[in-house]
Amino acid sequence: MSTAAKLIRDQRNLLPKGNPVPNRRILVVDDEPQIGEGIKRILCPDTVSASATPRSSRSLQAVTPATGTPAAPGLVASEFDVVVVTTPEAAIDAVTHALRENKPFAMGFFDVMLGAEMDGIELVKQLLSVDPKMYAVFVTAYQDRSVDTIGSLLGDENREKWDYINKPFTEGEILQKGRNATSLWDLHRLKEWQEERLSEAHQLLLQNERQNAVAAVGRSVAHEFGNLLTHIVGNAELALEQKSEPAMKNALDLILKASDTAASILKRFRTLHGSAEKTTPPAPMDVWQVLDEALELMEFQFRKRYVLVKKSRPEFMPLLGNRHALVQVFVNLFMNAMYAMPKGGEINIKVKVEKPWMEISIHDSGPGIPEDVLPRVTEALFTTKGGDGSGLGLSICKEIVEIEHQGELIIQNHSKGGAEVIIRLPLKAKGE
Amino acid sequence: MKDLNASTVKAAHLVVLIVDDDPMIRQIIVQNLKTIGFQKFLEAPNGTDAHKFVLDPLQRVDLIICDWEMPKTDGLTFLRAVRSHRTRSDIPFIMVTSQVSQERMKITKAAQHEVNAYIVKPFRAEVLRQKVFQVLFEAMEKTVTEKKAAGR
Repeated sequence: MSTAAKLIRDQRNLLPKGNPVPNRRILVVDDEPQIGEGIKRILCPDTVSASATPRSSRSLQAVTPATGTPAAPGLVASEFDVVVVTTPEAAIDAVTHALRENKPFAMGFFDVMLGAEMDGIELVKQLLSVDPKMYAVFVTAYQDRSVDTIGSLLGDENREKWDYINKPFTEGEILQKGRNATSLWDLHRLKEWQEERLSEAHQLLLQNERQNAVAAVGRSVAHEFGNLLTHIVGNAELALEQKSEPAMKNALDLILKASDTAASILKRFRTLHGSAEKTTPPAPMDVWQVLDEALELMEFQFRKRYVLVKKSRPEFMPLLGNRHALVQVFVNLFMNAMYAMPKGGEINIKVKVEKPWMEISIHDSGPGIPEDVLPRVTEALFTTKGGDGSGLGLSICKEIVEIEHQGELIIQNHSKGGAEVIIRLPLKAKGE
Repeated sequence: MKDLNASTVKAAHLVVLIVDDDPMIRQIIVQNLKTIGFQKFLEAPNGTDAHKFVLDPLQRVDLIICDWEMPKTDGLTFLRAVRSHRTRSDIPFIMVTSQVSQERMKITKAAQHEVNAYIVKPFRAEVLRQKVFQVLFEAMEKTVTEKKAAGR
């Protein structure tokens, strides 16, 4: 199993178990209290007492008696939590209050002709600016505004947030609209919730890939430390046995030399390791210094695999950026180049100023990248190394260069053969 | 454990081949073995050069102490080459490595190719000497047993 897949699995196990809670809160706005209560009675028959249903002539006209169209079988209408208000002001209050209480309404039924200075359409427009997640179902009569008018008044941006129902309506219609709209609200929340989890998992993957690069370098650091400690221990023991002052002095010199080398390896390793932990604010630096740091980390592996590094005339190349992250980018790119040349080869590094960019080119003498693979190499999870690669190396380089540094990362085949990676980093003007 | 020392294995006559890309480490091994009576050494910075000594029929090699991680031919490849040699496949071989995290895997792999002992860097002189004697003594006993078996 790839590291990536394992991480996604682990991440899944870490997630809070509960999905977003279904929302069954419905707001009913009608200037005729009887109609509002009538709709509430349809949605939750248990909570409205029989005495609260005097029917005005208008409500009789609006609500078709239950006996005419019985509710669909199997409905549990009382699943809804309904609030009835009669004025636009009360509606805005209710929605604002509900949001503040973290008990938002999933949807509302709105009478179009509210009688007041604000009609139902204008009210919904205002409510959507308070709570853009809410759905609206307009209850219209033929003499009220047409569906097209509602559409043009609410605007294109809200076209998926409303529906309508004609008077006289049936109980089944109200129930079904209520259900559809609340389900839609739930689905959107679930989608948001899943997207959040996905982006968290993605972050974790990127973090892990950074740590993998650290681990790879760590192995070569371990090797060098093994050797250096052998120098220290070996020389110390030999000096103890020889017991002559010049021999001891010589041994101490060698021990100190090994310790200095070890300390500088450790320092470089810490630089790289820092990038796995957190991003630091950009700081001024010399690009060649960053490149050299990455090259030093690769030194052992390059030596072992006969990789020769050629650098264009190094000069001071000042830049503003995150050094840890850039060292990591270069280490990743050098490793890719090295893997592309299993029998050894050359890596050419050039840096030049190409306003408004500083351009760093890393060109290897390997076989280049097959044309069909080229467009996909920076995709996360793409790998040609089979089980050996998690496929995040280049995608994380791209992220560091393009998102963290607002630069560009281009991968291409060089005209003279081999793969070339060009990194463009923005030059910062003085005082910026 | 038997008390093994230089006289048991006649150290002064034996030729030890030391393979490591780090000259300082080769030097430390040489110096350490000198203190216990060894006098004849061959040195190589990688498996390829070391293999030339083994392939030379006129060159005596009684013990190989070899680093695992080296450029060109690494320790394991060299070990395989020695073990597949027609007449010299039983030269005692001590593998040296610094990769502690992968140790288990390496020991398993090395054991398959009949490494006689392994040493983890950094090592103490005492460990090096003890392993050298142990490996040489075991090789001597094996030869004696084989001669007896052949004579029966």
